[in-house]
Amino acid sequence: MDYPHQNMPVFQVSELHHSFYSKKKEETKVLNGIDFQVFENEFVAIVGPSGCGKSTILNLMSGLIKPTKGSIRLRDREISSVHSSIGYIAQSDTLLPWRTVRRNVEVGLEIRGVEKEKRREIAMELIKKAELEGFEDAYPHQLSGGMRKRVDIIKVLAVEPEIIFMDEPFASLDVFTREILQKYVLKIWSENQRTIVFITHDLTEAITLADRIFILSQRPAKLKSTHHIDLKRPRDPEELKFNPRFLQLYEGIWKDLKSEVEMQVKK
Amino acid sequence: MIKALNLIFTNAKELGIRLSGFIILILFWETAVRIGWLNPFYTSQPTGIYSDLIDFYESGLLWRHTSVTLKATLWGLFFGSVSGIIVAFILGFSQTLAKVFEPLITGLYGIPKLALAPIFVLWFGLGIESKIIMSGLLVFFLVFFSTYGGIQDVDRNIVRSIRLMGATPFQIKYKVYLPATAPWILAGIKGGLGASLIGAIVGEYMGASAGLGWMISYSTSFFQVERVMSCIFILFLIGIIFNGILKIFERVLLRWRAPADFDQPL
Repeated sequence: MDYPHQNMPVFQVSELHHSFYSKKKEETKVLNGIDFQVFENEFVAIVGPSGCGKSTILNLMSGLIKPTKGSIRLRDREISSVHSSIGYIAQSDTLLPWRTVRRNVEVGLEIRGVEKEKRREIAMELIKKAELEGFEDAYPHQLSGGMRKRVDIIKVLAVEPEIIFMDEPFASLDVFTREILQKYVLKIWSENQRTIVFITHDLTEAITLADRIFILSQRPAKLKSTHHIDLKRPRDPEELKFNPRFLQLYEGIWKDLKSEVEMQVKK
Repeated sequence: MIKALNLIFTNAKELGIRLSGFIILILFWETAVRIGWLNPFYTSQPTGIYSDLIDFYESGLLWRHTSVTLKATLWGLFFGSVSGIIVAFILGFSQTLAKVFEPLITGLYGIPKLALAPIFVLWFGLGIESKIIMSGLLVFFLVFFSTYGGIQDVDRNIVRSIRLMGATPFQIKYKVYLPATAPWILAGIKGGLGASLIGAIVGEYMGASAGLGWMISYSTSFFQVERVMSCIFILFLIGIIFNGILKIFERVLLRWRAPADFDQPL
């Protein structure tokens, strides 16, 4: 196989098993031996039926929890704790409601001890780029859902992470806002190449954004298949939907995913 | 100009509405005494209280006693709040300590603490210390429970996102937990305002040589109901002023919160 990102793997996930234990020590197997690699500057999407353990993979990869078995290597080191080169954007709103937009964007820089003037400068530049100028002194409750999400994204961008994890970031937004934000993510990614791992249950979203898509089976999850998305970049989320190649890819991947979703419904 | 006049008029109207209940009560009271419905020996009367307040003020005693009570109240409020917040944070982040001390604190909370006032006077003397401790103890429980509840309620997603940015445990407490619990802490202190006054006054009943509580119990024993009422009026004013100050604090510290929407049906 050849694709543009076949260089150094950033992440090397091998034989990953994970189980949760209830209070009565009952085991729930979530991940059942997963192997994959993520390459430098690659945009990867992980798609699977709901509840299959997609978020668990990101939590493991970011070092928040330890796997039951298996290994996750970031570059050449085993992930053992939270890693500062990873930025994490979750589905829920994680803005600090008591801080203004600007001070929210500054929070990561504050944690890193960047001085006040510099913080302000970086934050204002990102706010301008995200077209949020004029809202820098607003509090989160005064913004719309789409605007809050943009602040959430630039808050992570402010500390310039090499790798960004996104866990269904747009799931709670309406379709139009979602398309605008997908465009925004593509823009960010093309301007400043980074490695992105994006979790979604929305296949259209995955095809629009990603270079490769991993399909997970239902729980206990295994990697069912990997699809290469050979659509030309830059991509436009609005036009892409009518692109014949897009439809072709969609059909192929959907067949794969459908059987998993159906099985889940039957259960 | 017209706008300014309008504003003054609206403010005056607002003030009038707020004061009307109070004015009606006073008028009723005075009238009831004058036509003989109430015996002024027991209830006193507004005009009598007014002239007593002037005496009280001119003799210099008013400020002397008020300042003693205020001092005990404010120190009690301060120590009670600070210790309540600190203990809540310690127990909030240590499961072991929480297991040991939470039942203990809850158990102690069940004791009617005012019953401890005589023993505090025995232990800490007739001076201001016993009053500060009484008052601080009452405040402590209110602030502790409120803050402790607030810590449990902090949004775990926010904590996780800050942790993922590489924050140290101290940074997480300082940048997330403390501001997130601010509304809870303020609610605890709001309840503590009244409690701190009660603590100081009851402490003074039990044994003191000065203070509004001492003055009330002293005057009662000489049937000087006017003086008792004067003291109660001053306590009433102190309560209003305290609440006003706290409201300003709330407005500044909690300005980030979405205003409550009164137009929405519940």
